[in-house]
Amino acid sequence: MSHAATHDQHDDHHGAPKSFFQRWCMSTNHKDIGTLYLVFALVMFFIGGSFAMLIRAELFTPGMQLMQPYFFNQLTTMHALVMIFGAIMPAFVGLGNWMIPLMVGAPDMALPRMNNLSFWILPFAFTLLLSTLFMAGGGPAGGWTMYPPLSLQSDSLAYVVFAIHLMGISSIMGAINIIATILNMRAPGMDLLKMPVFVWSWLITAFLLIAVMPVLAGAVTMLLTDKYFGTNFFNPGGGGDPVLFQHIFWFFGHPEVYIMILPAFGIISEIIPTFARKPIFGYKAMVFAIASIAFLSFIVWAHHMFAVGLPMGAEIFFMYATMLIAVPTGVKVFNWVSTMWGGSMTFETPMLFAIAFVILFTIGGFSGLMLALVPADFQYHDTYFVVAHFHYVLVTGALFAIIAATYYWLPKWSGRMYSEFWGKVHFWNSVIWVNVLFFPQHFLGLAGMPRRIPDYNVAFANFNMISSIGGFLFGASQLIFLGVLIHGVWFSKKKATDRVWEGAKGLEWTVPSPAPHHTFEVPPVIHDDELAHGHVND
Amino acid sequence: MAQPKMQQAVTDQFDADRRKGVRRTVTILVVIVAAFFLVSFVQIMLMK
Repeated sequence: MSHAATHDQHDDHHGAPKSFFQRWCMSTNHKDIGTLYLVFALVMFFIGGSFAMLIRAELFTPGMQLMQPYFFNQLTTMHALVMIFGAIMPAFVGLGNWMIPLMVGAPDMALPRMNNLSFWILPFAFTLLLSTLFMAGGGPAGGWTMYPPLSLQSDSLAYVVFAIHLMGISSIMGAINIIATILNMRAPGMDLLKMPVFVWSWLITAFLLIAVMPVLAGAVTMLLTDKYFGTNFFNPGGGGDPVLFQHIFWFFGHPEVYIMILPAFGIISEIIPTFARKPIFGYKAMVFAIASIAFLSFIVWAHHMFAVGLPMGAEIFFMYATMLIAVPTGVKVFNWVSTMWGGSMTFETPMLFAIAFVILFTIGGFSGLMLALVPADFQYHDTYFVVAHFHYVLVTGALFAIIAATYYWLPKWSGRMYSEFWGKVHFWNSVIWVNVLFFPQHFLGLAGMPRRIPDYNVAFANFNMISSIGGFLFGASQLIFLGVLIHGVWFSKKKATDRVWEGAKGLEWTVPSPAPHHTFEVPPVIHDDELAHGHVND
Repeated sequence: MAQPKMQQAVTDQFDADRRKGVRRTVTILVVIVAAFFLVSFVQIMLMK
Protein backbone atom coordinates (compact mmCIF):
# COMPACT_ATOMS: atom_id res chain seq x y z
CA MET A 1 0.00 0.00 0.00
CA SER A 2 1.30 3.45 -0.80
CA HIS A 3 1.60 6.24 1.72
CA ALA A 4 -2.04 6.92 2.34
CA ALA A 5 -1.29 9.29 5.14
CA THR A 6 1.34 11.58 3.72
CA HIS A 7 -0.18 14.78 2.58
CA ASP A 8 1.92 15.95 -0.31
CA GLN A 9 -0.82 18.12 -1.72
CA HIS A 10 -1.48 19.72 1.65
CA ASP A 11 -0.11 23.23 2.03
CA ASP A 12 0.60 22.92 5.77
CA HIS A 13 3.93 21.26 5.13
CA HIS A 14 5.97 22.00 8.22
CA GLY A 15 8.05 19.41 10.04
CA ALA A 16 9.25 19.31 13.63
CA PRO A 17 10.49 22.58 15.19
CA LYS A 18 14.26 22.92 14.97
CA SER A 19 14.97 24.23 18.45
CA PHE A 20 15.22 21.65 21.22
CA PHE A 21 13.16 23.72 23.63
CA GLN A 22 10.43 24.40 21.06
CA ARG A 23 10.24 20.79 20.01
CA TRP A 24 10.25 19.03 23.37
CA CYS A 25 9.00 21.55 25.91
CA MET A 26 6.39 23.38 23.84
CA SER A 27 5.27 20.46 21.72
CA THR A 28 1.65 19.87 20.89
CA ASN A 29 2.47 16.98 18.55
CA HIS A 30 1.10 13.63 19.68
CA LYS A 31 4.20 11.75 18.51
CA ASP A 32 6.66 14.01 20.34
CA ILE A 33 4.55 14.00 23.50
CA GLY A 34 4.26 10.21 23.20
CA THR A 35 8.05 10.03 22.99
CA LEU A 36 8.37 12.27 26.05
CA TYR A 37 6.04 10.00 28.03
CA LEU A 38 7.96 6.90 26.96
CA VAL A 39 11.37 8.38 27.82
CA PHE A 40 10.02 9.57 31.18
CA ALA A 41 8.61 6.10 31.86
CA LEU A 42 11.96 4.51 30.97
CA VAL A 43 13.84 6.81 33.36
CA MET A 44 11.32 6.05 36.12
CA PHE A 45 11.57 2.34 35.33
CA PHE A 46 15.29 2.44 36.03
CA ILE A 47 14.87 4.57 39.16
CA GLY A 48 12.14 2.25 40.50
CA GLY A 49 14.25 -0.72 39.41
CA SER A 50 17.25 0.56 41.36
CA PHE A 51 15.04 0.69 44.47
CA ALA A 52 14.07 -2.93 43.78
CA MET A 53 17.76 -3.91 43.51
CA LEU A 54 18.41 -2.37 46.93
CA ILE A 55 15.42 -4.21 48.38
CA ARG A 56 16.63 -7.54 46.97
CA ALA A 57 20.18 -6.82 48.18
CA GLU A 58 18.89 -6.27 51.71
CA LEU A 59 16.87 -9.49 51.50
CA PHE A 60 19.74 -11.52 50.03
CA THR A 61 20.45 -13.12 53.39
CA PRO A 62 18.72 -13.00 56.78
CA GLY A 63 19.71 -10.24 59.17
CA MET A 64 20.18 -6.54 58.56
CA GLN A 65 22.71 -5.97 55.79
CA LEU A 66 22.76 -2.57 54.17
CA MET A 67 20.18 -0.22 55.63
CA GLN A 68 18.01 0.72 58.57
CA PRO A 69 14.47 -0.78 58.59
CA TYR A 70 12.84 2.63 58.20
CA PHE A 71 14.78 3.26 54.98
CA PHE A 72 13.80 -0.21 53.74
CA ASN A 73 10.15 0.77 54.26
CA GLN A 74 10.76 3.95 52.28
CA LEU A 75 12.25 1.89 49.47
CA THR A 76 9.31 -0.50 49.21
CA THR A 77 6.89 2.45 49.24
CA MET A 78 8.80 4.48 46.67
CA HIS A 79 9.46 1.46 44.46
CA ALA A 80 5.71 0.90 44.15
CA LEU A 81 4.75 4.54 43.70
CA VAL A 82 7.44 5.13 41.08
CA MET A 83 6.72 1.93 39.14
CA ILE A 84 2.92 2.31 39.17
CA PHE A 85 2.48 6.05 38.67
CA GLY A 86 5.84 6.85 37.06
CA ALA A 87 6.67 3.89 34.84
CA ILE A 88 3.71 1.67 33.92
CA MET A 89 0.98 4.32 33.60
CA PRO A 90 3.03 6.92 31.69
CA ALA A 91 4.36 4.20 29.39
CA PHE A 92 0.81 3.24 28.40
CA VAL A 93 -0.13 6.91 28.00
CA GLY A 94 2.93 7.34 25.78
CA LEU A 95 1.97 4.37 23.65
CA GLY A 96 -1.59 5.69 23.47
CA ASN A 97 -0.37 9.14 22.46
CA TRP A 98 1.82 7.76 19.73
CA MET A 99 -0.49 5.12 18.34
CA ILE A 100 -4.16 6.07 18.90
CA PRO A 101 -4.24 8.96 16.38
CA LEU A 102 -2.30 6.81 13.89
CA MET A 103 -4.64 3.86 14.40
CA VAL A 104 -7.90 5.79 14.00
CA GLY A 105 -6.72 8.08 11.19
CA ALA A 106 -6.69 11.29 13.27
CA PRO A 107 -4.24 14.16 12.62
CA ASP A 108 -3.42 14.53 16.34
CA MET A 109 -4.99 14.27 19.78
CA ALA A 110 -8.20 16.26 20.20
CA LEU A 111 -6.63 18.64 22.75
CA PRO A 112 -2.94 19.01 21.87
CA ARG A 113 -2.10 21.81 24.31
CA MET A 114 -3.68 19.97 27.21
CA ASN A 115 -1.67 16.96 26.09
CA ASN A 116 1.52 18.97 26.62
CA LEU A 117 0.36 20.08 30.07
CA SER A 118 -0.62 16.52 31.05
CA PHE A 119 2.92 15.37 30.39
CA TRP A 120 4.84 18.28 31.86
CA ILE A 121 3.03 18.00 35.19
CA LEU A 122 4.62 14.59 35.70
CA PRO A 123 8.32 15.52 35.99
CA PHE A 124 7.40 18.10 38.65
CA ALA A 125 5.22 15.58 40.51
CA PHE A 126 7.97 12.97 40.59
CA THR A 127 10.71 15.44 41.45
CA LEU A 128 8.57 16.40 44.42
CA LEU A 129 7.94 12.77 45.36
CA LEU A 130 11.56 11.65 45.01
CA SER A 131 12.88 14.74 46.78
CA THR A 132 11.25 13.49 49.99
CA LEU A 133 13.96 10.81 50.18
CA PHE A 134 16.47 13.58 50.85
CA MET A 135 14.41 15.39 53.45
CA ALA A 136 15.13 15.23 57.17
CA GLY A 137 12.28 12.85 58.00
CA GLY A 138 12.79 10.73 54.89
CA GLY A 139 10.24 9.70 52.29
CA PRO A 140 6.89 8.00 52.74
CA ALA A 141 7.30 4.63 54.44
CA GLY A 142 3.77 3.35 54.96
CA GLY A 143 3.52 1.40 51.71
CA TRP A 144 1.97 2.63 48.44
CA THR A 145 -1.46 1.91 49.93
CA MET A 146 -0.79 4.60 52.57
CA TYR A 147 -2.91 2.93 55.25
CA PRO A 148 -3.44 5.09 58.32
CA PRO A 149 -2.29 5.34 61.06
CA LEU A 150 1.11 4.16 59.70
CA SER A 151 1.22 6.61 56.78
CA LEU A 152 0.29 9.50 59.08
CA GLN A 153 3.59 9.03 60.94
CA SER A 154 5.55 10.20 57.90
CA ASP A 155 6.78 13.80 57.89
CA SER A 156 6.66 13.89 54.10
CA LEU A 157 2.94 13.11 53.81
CA ALA A 158 2.02 16.58 52.56
CA TYR A 159 4.58 16.37 49.73
CA VAL A 160 3.40 12.90 48.76
CA VAL A 161 -0.26 13.95 48.78
CA PHE A 162 0.52 16.97 46.60
CA ALA A 163 2.53 14.78 44.20
CA ILE A 164 -0.39 12.33 44.00
CA HIS A 165 -2.80 15.16 43.27
CA LEU A 166 -0.54 16.32 40.44
CA MET A 167 -0.33 12.79 38.99
CA GLY A 168 -4.11 12.48 39.28
CA ILE A 169 -4.70 15.76 37.45
CA SER A 170 -2.30 14.64 34.73
CA SER A 171 -4.05 11.28 34.40
CA ILE A 172 -7.53 12.81 34.28
CA MET A 173 -6.50 15.32 31.61
CA GLY A 174 -4.85 12.52 29.62
CA ALA A 175 -7.96 10.37 29.92
CA ILE A 176 -10.28 13.18 28.78
CA ASN A 177 -7.98 13.78 25.82
CA ILE A 178 -7.97 10.14 24.81
CA ILE A 179 -11.76 9.80 25.05
CA ALA A 180 -12.31 13.02 23.09
CA THR A 181 -9.84 11.85 20.43
CA ILE A 182 -11.34 8.40 20.01
CA LEU A 183 -14.95 9.57 19.98
CA ASN A 184 -14.50 12.56 17.69
CA MET A 185 -11.30 12.41 15.65
CA ARG A 186 -11.65 9.06 13.88
CA ALA A 187 -11.42 9.11 10.11
CA PRO A 188 -14.83 8.74 8.44
CA GLY A 189 -15.50 5.03 8.04
CA MET A 190 -13.48 4.05 11.14
CA ASP A 191 -16.58 2.91 13.04
CA LEU A 192 -16.27 2.06 16.73
CA LEU A 193 -16.38 -1.65 15.96
CA LYS A 194 -13.67 -1.29 13.35
CA MET A 195 -11.19 0.25 15.78
CA PRO A 196 -8.12 -1.77 16.75
CA VAL A 197 -8.43 -3.58 20.10
CA PHE A 198 -5.63 -1.39 21.52
CA VAL A 199 -7.76 1.70 20.89
CA TRP A 200 -10.77 0.03 22.51
CA SER A 201 -8.70 -0.97 25.52
CA TRP A 202 -7.55 2.63 25.96
CA LEU A 203 -11.07 4.04 25.57
CA ILE A 204 -12.30 1.81 28.39
CA THR A 205 -9.20 2.47 30.50
CA ALA A 206 -9.70 6.22 30.14
CA PHE A 207 -13.23 5.92 31.56
CA LEU A 208 -11.81 3.92 34.48
CA LEU A 209 -9.25 6.68 35.12
CA ILE A 210 -11.92 9.37 35.15
CA ALA A 211 -14.03 7.36 37.56
CA VAL A 212 -11.37 6.49 40.12
CA MET A 213 -8.69 9.19 40.22
CA PRO A 214 -11.02 11.63 42.05
CA VAL A 215 -11.63 8.90 44.63
CA LEU A 216 -7.87 8.64 45.27
CA ALA A 217 -7.72 12.42 45.50
CA GLY A 218 -10.47 12.33 48.14
CA ALA A 219 -8.75 9.58 50.12
CA VAL A 220 -5.33 11.26 50.27
CA THR A 221 -6.91 14.64 51.09
CA MET A 222 -8.63 13.02 54.07
CA LEU A 223 -5.24 11.69 55.17
CA LEU A 224 -3.84 15.18 54.88
CA THR A 225 -6.63 16.75 56.92
CA ASP A 226 -6.31 14.00 59.55
CA LYS A 227 -2.63 14.80 59.97
CA TYR A 228 -2.61 18.57 59.68
CA PHE A 229 -6.14 19.92 60.18
CA GLY A 230 -7.42 18.03 63.20
CA THR A 231 -9.98 15.81 61.48
CA ASN A 232 -10.56 12.23 62.58
CA PHE A 233 -11.74 10.38 59.49
CA PHE A 234 -9.48 7.45 60.19
CA ASN A 235 -8.75 7.96 63.88
CA PRO A 236 -10.82 5.70 66.16
CA GLY A 237 -9.94 7.98 69.09
CA GLY A 238 -12.02 10.71 67.45
CA GLY A 239 -14.83 8.51 66.18
CA GLY A 240 -13.16 7.66 62.86
CA ASP A 241 -12.33 4.30 61.34
CA PRO A 242 -9.06 3.25 59.65
CA VAL A 243 -10.95 0.57 57.70
CA LEU A 244 -12.86 3.38 55.96
CA PHE A 245 -9.59 4.40 54.31
CA GLN A 246 -9.06 0.87 53.05
CA HIS A 247 -12.54 0.85 51.48
CA ILE A 248 -11.98 4.21 49.76
CA PHE A 249 -8.43 3.38 48.72
CA TRP A 250 -9.29 0.02 47.20
CA PHE A 251 -12.35 1.44 45.44
CA PHE A 252 -9.67 3.37 43.56
CA GLY A 253 -6.97 0.71 43.84
CA HIS A 254 -8.62 -2.23 42.20
CA PRO A 255 -9.73 -0.40 39.04
CA GLU A 256 -6.19 1.05 39.09
CA VAL A 257 -4.86 -2.50 38.69
CA TYR A 258 -6.99 -2.82 35.55
CA ILE A 259 -5.86 0.59 34.34
CA MET A 260 -2.40 -0.99 34.30
CA ILE A 261 -3.44 -4.19 32.50
CA LEU A 262 -6.24 -3.35 30.01
CA PRO A 263 -3.95 -1.43 27.61
CA ALA A 264 -1.59 -4.41 27.87
CA PHE A 265 -4.45 -6.63 26.66
CA GLY A 266 -4.88 -4.24 23.74
CA ILE A 267 -1.18 -4.41 22.85
CA ILE A 268 -1.10 -8.19 22.90
CA SER A 269 -4.24 -8.22 20.74
CA GLU A 270 -2.32 -6.20 18.12
CA ILE A 271 0.91 -8.19 18.20
CA ILE A 272 -0.38 -11.77 18.13
CA PRO A 273 -2.47 -11.39 14.91
CA THR A 274 0.51 -9.75 13.18
CA PHE A 275 2.92 -12.62 13.86
CA ALA A 276 0.28 -15.35 13.52
CA ARG A 277 -0.72 -13.73 10.20
CA LYS A 278 -4.38 -14.15 11.07
CA PRO A 279 -7.09 -11.70 12.13
CA ILE A 280 -7.72 -11.65 15.87
CA PHE A 281 -10.08 -14.45 16.89
CA GLY A 282 -13.35 -13.10 18.32
CA TYR A 283 -12.82 -9.35 17.92
CA LYS A 284 -16.16 -8.39 19.44
CA ALA A 285 -15.74 -10.87 22.29
CA MET A 286 -12.35 -9.27 23.03
CA VAL A 287 -13.91 -5.81 23.22
CA PHE A 288 -16.81 -6.99 25.39
CA ALA A 289 -14.40 -8.91 27.63
CA ILE A 290 -12.39 -5.73 28.26
CA ALA A 291 -15.60 -3.82 29.03
CA SER A 292 -16.77 -6.62 31.37
CA ILE A 293 -13.46 -6.67 33.23
CA ALA A 294 -13.66 -2.88 33.61
CA PHE A 295 -17.20 -3.11 35.02
CA LEU A 296 -16.30 -5.92 37.42
CA SER A 297 -13.27 -3.96 38.65
CA PHE A 298 -15.68 -1.63 40.54
CA ILE A 299 -17.37 -4.36 42.58
CA VAL A 300 -14.41 -6.39 43.87
CA TRP A 301 -12.41 -3.91 45.96
CA ALA A 302 -12.93 -5.59 49.33
CA HIS A 303 -11.06 -8.73 48.26
CA HIS A 304 -7.98 -6.76 49.36
CA MET A 305 -9.49 -6.54 52.83
CA PHE A 306 -10.78 -10.02 53.70
CA ALA A 307 -8.56 -10.09 56.78
CA VAL A 308 -9.90 -6.87 58.36
CA GLY A 309 -13.07 -8.55 59.58
CA LEU A 310 -15.79 -7.91 57.01
CA PRO A 311 -19.28 -9.40 57.49
CA MET A 312 -19.52 -12.94 56.10
CA GLY A 313 -22.07 -11.90 53.45
CA ALA A 314 -19.70 -9.23 52.14
CA GLU A 315 -16.77 -11.65 52.03
CA ILE A 316 -18.80 -14.16 50.04
CA PHE A 317 -20.06 -11.49 47.63
CA PHE A 318 -16.57 -10.11 46.98
CA MET A 319 -15.13 -13.62 46.63
CA TYR A 320 -17.63 -14.64 43.93
CA ALA A 321 -17.47 -11.27 42.17
CA THR A 322 -13.68 -11.60 42.03
CA MET A 323 -13.85 -15.15 40.70
CA LEU A 324 -16.24 -13.91 38.01
CA ILE A 325 -13.40 -11.84 36.49
CA ALA A 326 -11.80 -15.10 35.41
CA VAL A 327 -14.57 -15.52 32.82
CA PRO A 328 -13.85 -12.50 30.57
CA THR A 329 -10.12 -12.89 31.24
CA GLY A 330 -10.38 -16.53 30.14
CA VAL A 331 -12.20 -15.41 27.00
CA LYS A 332 -9.23 -13.19 26.17
CA VAL A 333 -6.60 -15.85 26.85
CA PHE A 334 -8.48 -18.46 24.79
CA ASN A 335 -8.96 -15.95 21.96
CA TRP A 336 -5.24 -15.16 21.88
CA VAL A 337 -4.45 -18.87 21.75
CA SER A 338 -7.13 -19.39 19.07
CA THR A 339 -5.60 -16.55 17.04
CA MET A 340 -2.27 -18.37 17.09
CA TRP A 341 -3.87 -21.74 16.35
CA GLY A 342 -3.24 -22.65 12.71
CA GLY A 343 -1.46 -19.38 12.02
CA SER A 344 1.78 -18.99 10.07
CA MET A 345 3.63 -17.98 13.16
CA THR A 346 7.07 -16.41 13.38
CA PHE A 347 8.83 -15.55 16.58
CA GLU A 348 10.30 -12.07 16.38
CA THR A 349 11.03 -10.35 19.70
CA PRO A 350 7.59 -8.65 20.10
CA MET A 351 5.86 -11.99 19.54
CA LEU A 352 8.15 -13.73 22.05
CA PHE A 353 7.26 -11.16 24.69
CA ALA A 354 3.56 -11.45 23.74
CA ILE A 355 3.58 -15.25 24.12
CA ALA A 356 5.45 -14.94 27.42
CA PHE A 357 2.78 -12.45 28.47
CA VAL A 358 -0.04 -14.89 27.73
CA ILE A 359 1.60 -17.71 29.71
CA LEU A 360 3.01 -15.75 32.64
CA PHE A 361 0.09 -13.36 33.04
CA THR A 362 -2.12 -16.43 33.26
CA ILE A 363 0.03 -17.70 36.15
CA GLY A 364 -0.55 -14.32 37.84
CA GLY A 365 -4.26 -14.70 37.11
CA PHE A 366 -4.40 -18.14 38.68
CA SER A 367 -2.64 -17.00 41.85
CA GLY A 368 -5.15 -14.12 41.88
CA LEU A 369 -7.95 -16.67 41.85
CA MET A 370 -6.32 -18.42 44.81
CA LEU A 371 -6.20 -15.09 46.66
CA ALA A 372 -9.88 -14.51 45.86
CA LEU A 373 -10.86 -17.49 48.01
CA VAL A 374 -11.72 -16.08 51.43
CA PRO A 375 -10.50 -19.01 53.58
CA ALA A 376 -7.27 -19.35 51.59
CA ASP A 377 -6.69 -15.59 51.66
CA PHE A 378 -6.50 -15.68 55.43
CA GLN A 379 -3.31 -17.70 54.99
CA TYR A 380 -1.90 -15.78 52.01
CA HIS A 381 -2.80 -12.26 53.15
CA ASP A 382 0.19 -9.92 53.55
CA THR A 383 2.67 -12.64 52.64
CA TYR A 384 5.15 -12.95 49.78
CA PHE A 385 2.51 -14.96 47.90
CA VAL A 386 0.73 -11.65 47.27
CA VAL A 387 4.02 -10.07 46.18
CA ALA A 388 4.60 -12.95 43.74
CA HIS A 389 1.03 -12.66 42.43
CA PHE A 390 1.00 -8.97 41.63
CA HIS A 391 4.52 -9.02 40.20
CA TYR A 392 3.47 -11.76 37.78
CA VAL A 393 0.56 -9.54 36.76
CA LEU A 394 2.48 -6.28 36.60
CA VAL A 395 5.96 -7.33 35.47
CA THR A 396 5.33 -10.30 33.21
CA GLY A 397 1.94 -8.77 32.40
CA ALA A 398 2.00 -4.99 32.06
CA LEU A 399 5.76 -4.51 31.71
CA PHE A 400 6.24 -7.33 29.21
CA ALA A 401 3.40 -5.87 27.13
CA ILE A 402 5.07 -2.44 27.19
CA ILE A 403 8.39 -3.99 26.14
CA ALA A 404 6.62 -6.00 23.41
CA ALA A 405 4.91 -2.82 22.17
CA THR A 406 8.22 -0.97 22.14
CA TYR A 407 9.87 -3.63 19.96
CA TYR A 408 6.74 -3.82 17.78
CA TRP A 409 6.35 -0.12 17.05
CA LEU A 410 9.96 1.12 17.50
CA PRO A 411 10.77 0.70 13.77
CA LYS A 412 7.70 2.83 12.95
CA TRP A 413 8.86 5.50 15.40
CA SER A 414 12.55 5.61 14.54
CA GLY A 415 12.57 4.35 10.94
CA ARG A 416 15.29 1.83 11.86
CA MET A 417 15.12 -1.86 12.73
CA TYR A 418 16.40 -2.80 16.15
CA SER A 419 18.82 -5.73 16.47
CA GLU A 420 16.69 -8.88 16.44
CA PHE A 421 19.58 -10.88 17.90
CA TRP A 422 19.99 -8.60 20.92
CA GLY A 423 16.23 -8.31 21.24
CA LYS A 424 16.06 -12.07 21.65
CA VAL A 425 19.00 -12.05 24.07
CA HIS A 426 17.03 -9.50 26.08
CA PHE A 427 13.90 -11.63 25.89
CA TRP A 428 15.46 -14.91 27.01
CA ASN A 429 17.35 -13.26 29.85
CA SER A 430 14.23 -11.42 30.98
CA VAL A 431 11.92 -14.42 30.82
CA ILE A 432 14.31 -16.74 32.64
CA TRP A 433 15.41 -14.36 35.39
CA VAL A 434 11.96 -12.91 36.03
CA ASN A 435 10.77 -16.40 36.91
CA VAL A 436 13.83 -17.04 39.09
CA LEU A 437 13.01 -13.72 40.76
CA PHE A 438 9.29 -14.10 41.40
CA PHE A 439 8.39 -17.80 41.33
CA PRO A 440 10.17 -18.68 44.62
CA GLN A 441 8.24 -15.87 46.28
CA HIS A 442 5.10 -18.04 45.98
CA PHE A 443 6.81 -20.64 48.18
CA LEU A 444 8.04 -18.00 50.62
CA GLY A 445 4.51 -16.69 50.98
CA LEU A 446 2.98 -20.12 51.43
CA ALA A 447 5.61 -20.81 54.09
CA GLY A 448 4.50 -17.66 55.91
CA MET A 449 7.07 -14.98 55.11
CA PRO A 450 5.40 -11.57 55.57
CA ARG A 451 5.84 -8.87 52.94
CA ARG A 452 7.43 -5.46 53.60
CA ILE A 453 10.01 -6.70 56.13
CA PRO A 454 13.79 -6.09 55.94
CA ASP A 455 14.75 -9.16 57.98
CA TYR A 456 13.32 -12.67 58.13
CA ASN A 457 13.57 -16.11 59.68
CA VAL A 458 16.52 -18.22 58.50
CA ALA A 459 13.98 -20.79 57.27
CA PHE A 460 13.33 -18.47 54.32
CA ALA A 461 17.00 -17.94 53.45
CA ASN A 462 17.39 -20.18 50.39
CA PHE A 463 14.40 -18.98 48.40
CA ASN A 464 15.24 -15.36 49.22
CA MET A 465 18.78 -15.81 47.93
CA ILE A 466 17.48 -17.43 44.72
CA SER A 467 14.95 -14.62 44.33
CA SER A 468 17.62 -11.95 44.83
CA ILE A 469 19.95 -13.57 42.27
CA GLY A 470 17.05 -13.63 39.81
CA GLY A 471 16.34 -9.99 40.66
CA PHE A 472 19.90 -8.81 40.02
CA LEU A 473 20.09 -10.67 36.71
CA PHE A 474 16.61 -9.50 35.61
CA GLY A 475 17.68 -5.95 36.45
CA ALA A 476 20.93 -6.36 34.51
CA SER A 477 18.98 -7.79 31.55
CA GLN A 478 17.14 -4.49 31.22
CA LEU A 479 20.45 -2.80 30.43
CA ILE A 480 20.42 -4.94 27.26
CA PHE A 481 17.01 -3.42 26.50
CA LEU A 482 18.47 0.05 26.95
CA GLY A 483 21.30 -0.85 24.57
CA VAL A 484 18.89 -2.25 21.96
CA LEU A 485 16.79 0.92 22.19
CA ILE A 486 19.77 3.28 21.80
CA HIS A 487 21.06 1.24 18.85
CA GLY A 488 17.59 0.94 17.29
CA VAL A 489 16.85 4.66 17.53
CA TRP A 490 20.19 6.18 16.49
CA PHE A 491 22.71 3.70 15.17
CA SER A 492 21.03 0.81 13.34
CA LYS A 493 21.94 0.71 9.64
CA LYS A 494 18.89 -1.36 8.75
CA LYS A 495 16.06 0.89 7.58
CA ALA A 496 12.51 -0.10 8.46
CA THR A 497 9.98 -0.54 5.68
CA ASP A 498 6.61 1.19 5.93
CA ARG A 499 4.78 -1.98 6.90
CA VAL A 500 7.74 -3.25 9.02
CA TRP A 501 6.17 -6.67 9.75
CA GLU A 502 4.88 -8.91 6.98
CA GLY A 503 1.57 -9.63 8.69
CA ALA A 504 0.98 -6.14 10.07
CA LYS A 505 -2.39 -4.58 9.31
CA GLY A 506 -3.94 -1.31 10.36
CA LEU A 507 -3.62 2.36 9.49
CA GLU A 508 -0.39 2.91 11.41
CA TRP A 509 1.46 0.71 8.93
CA THR A 510 0.31 2.75 5.94
CA VAL A 511 2.41 5.77 6.89
CA PRO A 512 6.16 5.89 6.13
CA SER A 513 8.79 4.77 8.66
CA PRO A 514 9.71 6.86 10.57
CA ALA A 515 6.22 8.28 10.83
CA PRO A 516 6.25 11.88 9.52
CA HIS A 517 5.80 14.67 12.06
CA HIS A 518 2.25 15.20 10.79
CA THR A 519 0.05 12.37 9.57
CA PHE A 520 -3.56 12.01 8.45
CA GLU A 521 -4.21 15.73 8.13
CA VAL A 522 -6.39 14.50 5.30
CA PRO A 523 -8.41 11.51 6.59
CA PRO A 524 -7.45 8.20 5.00
CA VAL A 525 -9.96 5.90 3.32
CA ILE A 526 -10.70 2.88 5.50
CA HIS A 527 -10.45 -0.45 3.67
CA ASP A 528 -11.90 -3.31 5.72
CA ASP A 529 -9.33 -5.82 4.47
CA GLU A 530 -6.57 -3.54 5.79
CA LEU A 531 -7.85 -3.77 9.38
CA ALA A 532 -6.05 -6.03 11.84
CA HIS A 533 -9.24 -7.86 12.75
CA GLY A 534 -10.58 -8.37 9.22
CA HIS A 535 -14.25 -7.98 8.29
CA VAL A 536 -15.85 -7.70 11.71
CA ASN A 537 -19.44 -7.71 10.54
CA ASP A 538 -19.15 -10.65 8.14
CA MET B 1 -5.97 -1.15 -12.79
CA ALA B 2 -6.71 2.05 -10.89
CA GLN B 3 -5.16 2.50 -7.45
CA PRO B 4 -7.68 2.42 -4.59
CA LYS B 5 -8.57 5.85 -3.23
CA MET B 6 -6.31 6.67 -0.26
CA GLN B 7 -7.59 9.98 1.08
CA GLN B 8 -10.98 11.44 1.78
CA ALA B 9 -12.10 14.91 0.89
CA VAL B 10 -12.32 17.20 3.92
CA THR B 11 -15.05 19.82 4.10
CA ASP B 12 -15.44 22.75 6.47
CA GLN B 13 -18.54 21.02 7.77
CA PHE B 14 -16.45 17.95 8.66
CA ASP B 15 -13.98 20.10 10.60
CA ALA B 16 -16.75 22.00 12.35
CA ASP B 17 -18.50 18.76 13.33
CA ARG B 18 -15.26 17.41 14.76
CA ARG B 19 -14.65 20.52 16.80
CA LYS B 20 -18.24 20.54 18.07
CA GLY B 21 -17.94 16.86 19.03
CA VAL B 22 -14.70 17.46 20.94
CA ARG B 23 -16.26 20.41 22.81
CA ARG B 24 -19.33 18.37 23.73
CA THR B 25 -17.29 15.34 24.89
CA VAL B 26 -14.91 17.45 26.95
CA THR B 27 -17.79 19.37 28.55
CA ILE B 28 -19.54 16.16 29.58
CA LEU B 29 -16.34 14.56 30.92
CA VAL B 30 -15.27 17.67 32.81
CA VAL B 31 -18.73 17.88 34.41
CA ILE B 32 -18.45 14.21 35.45
CA VAL B 33 -14.97 14.68 36.92
CA ALA B 34 -15.97 17.91 38.66
CA ALA B 35 -19.04 16.18 40.08
CA PHE B 36 -16.90 13.30 41.39
CA PHE B 37 -14.47 15.75 43.02
CA LEU B 38 -17.30 17.83 44.44
CA VAL B 39 -19.12 14.81 45.88
CA SER B 40 -15.85 13.58 47.44
CA PHE B 41 -15.12 16.88 49.08
CA VAL B 42 -18.70 17.52 50.18
CA GLN B 43 -18.61 14.08 51.74
CA ILE B 44 -15.35 14.94 53.50
CA MET B 45 -16.88 18.12 54.86
CA LEU B 46 -20.05 16.34 56.00
CA MET B 47 -18.17 13.50 57.67
CA LYS B 48 -15.85 15.91 59.44
